[in-house]
Amino acid sequence: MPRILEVKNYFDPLFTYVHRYTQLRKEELMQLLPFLDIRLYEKKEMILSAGEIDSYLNIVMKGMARKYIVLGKNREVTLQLATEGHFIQSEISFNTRTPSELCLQAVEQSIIVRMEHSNLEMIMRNYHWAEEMGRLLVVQLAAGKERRLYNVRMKSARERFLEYVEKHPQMMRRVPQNVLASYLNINPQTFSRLKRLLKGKSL
Amino acid sequence: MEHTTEEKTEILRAYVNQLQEYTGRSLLLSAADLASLAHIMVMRVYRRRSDLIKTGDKEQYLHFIVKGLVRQYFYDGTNDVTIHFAREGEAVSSFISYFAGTSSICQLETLEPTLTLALPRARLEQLYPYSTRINRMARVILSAQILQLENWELNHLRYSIRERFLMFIKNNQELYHRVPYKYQASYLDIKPETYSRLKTQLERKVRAIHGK
Repeated sequence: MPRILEVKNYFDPLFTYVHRYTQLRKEELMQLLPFLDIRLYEKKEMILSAGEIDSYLNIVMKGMARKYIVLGKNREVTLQLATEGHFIQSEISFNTRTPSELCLQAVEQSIIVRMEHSNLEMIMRNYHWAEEMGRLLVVQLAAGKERRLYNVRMKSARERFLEYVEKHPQMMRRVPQNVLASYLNINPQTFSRLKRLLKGKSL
Repeated sequence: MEHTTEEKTEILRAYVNQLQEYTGRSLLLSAADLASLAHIMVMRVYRRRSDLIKTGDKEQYLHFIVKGLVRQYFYDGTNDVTIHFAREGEAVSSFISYFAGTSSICQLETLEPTLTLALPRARLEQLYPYSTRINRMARVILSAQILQLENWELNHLRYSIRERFLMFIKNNQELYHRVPYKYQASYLDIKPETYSRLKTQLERKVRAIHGK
């Protein structure tokens, strides 16, 4: 018998995740509930395919999702890995209402809470606290993006690898190696070598 | 060379229209909002090759460029990666540092003598409680920065060095002539020698076409 997913069953973790960025109050989250949707995705299930318009702001409640682009000859580059408490969407598509070049996919079985674009607009207009919350949230999203771009461009493969492993040790277990390598912009052979060196503790 | 309130309001209005187009979001700023923003704007003057902000500092200003050219880049002492060139009519800032109050991870320097009208951070923050639309404007400016960073990243992934070079020149004729070549190379994330080579090849082709 399939378990029925309801947003209200995830109220507490949702509140915790959003509150740490935005100082949202519980009463305010209660007001948002009717506008939120919740979905379960199986491992490797597509959340958004290339060519679709992204109409949702997604937050991962359980599991992990990734954002990636397919470049010619079946080469994939992963741009973001979102675990519990993190937002993920195809920003350009979501903001400009154009077909997405990027894909969103569940890396593990995931539960995602989401809000549809038109609901977001309506909330912004009708709740006076929503714009401030929106601003604080977008600041965090922008900061994450800038930081990642900096790391990928400015740090060596070795530095990126070591920092990431130190900060997110569980990701080595949870994420397929080729996905993680592309996310860190490290070529797969180099990634394997760094992994071996790390195991042998000569890094 | 002080700007009048009307001039400042015009500059803001022009920027807001551009922002609305770029992000697809409408700001709905009222005349009172624009007046509040114009009221807190200050003029900033910078010589050529001077820093608006260095890595590690906290951004105090959201600038609107009245005249001049500014380069936004990452720099760690060795590597230099340019992520944007901003010119007249554009807003420029270490946006995330400005809105988050954190240390800047990027730097801004002028490539020409530059004049800006700027919103000081502390004074803009005082306006938030009084206008949800100004909150909205802040959010949309940040969204624009996200879109810009994403576009920059995707262009680097999608296109070859040669394609990016040609696209840059095609879409930014003015920048091609205004920006020193080493910075164009930094923006394209290629070595200056590669840039020179591509430029020479292009000029040879253009001469061959005109020669016929």
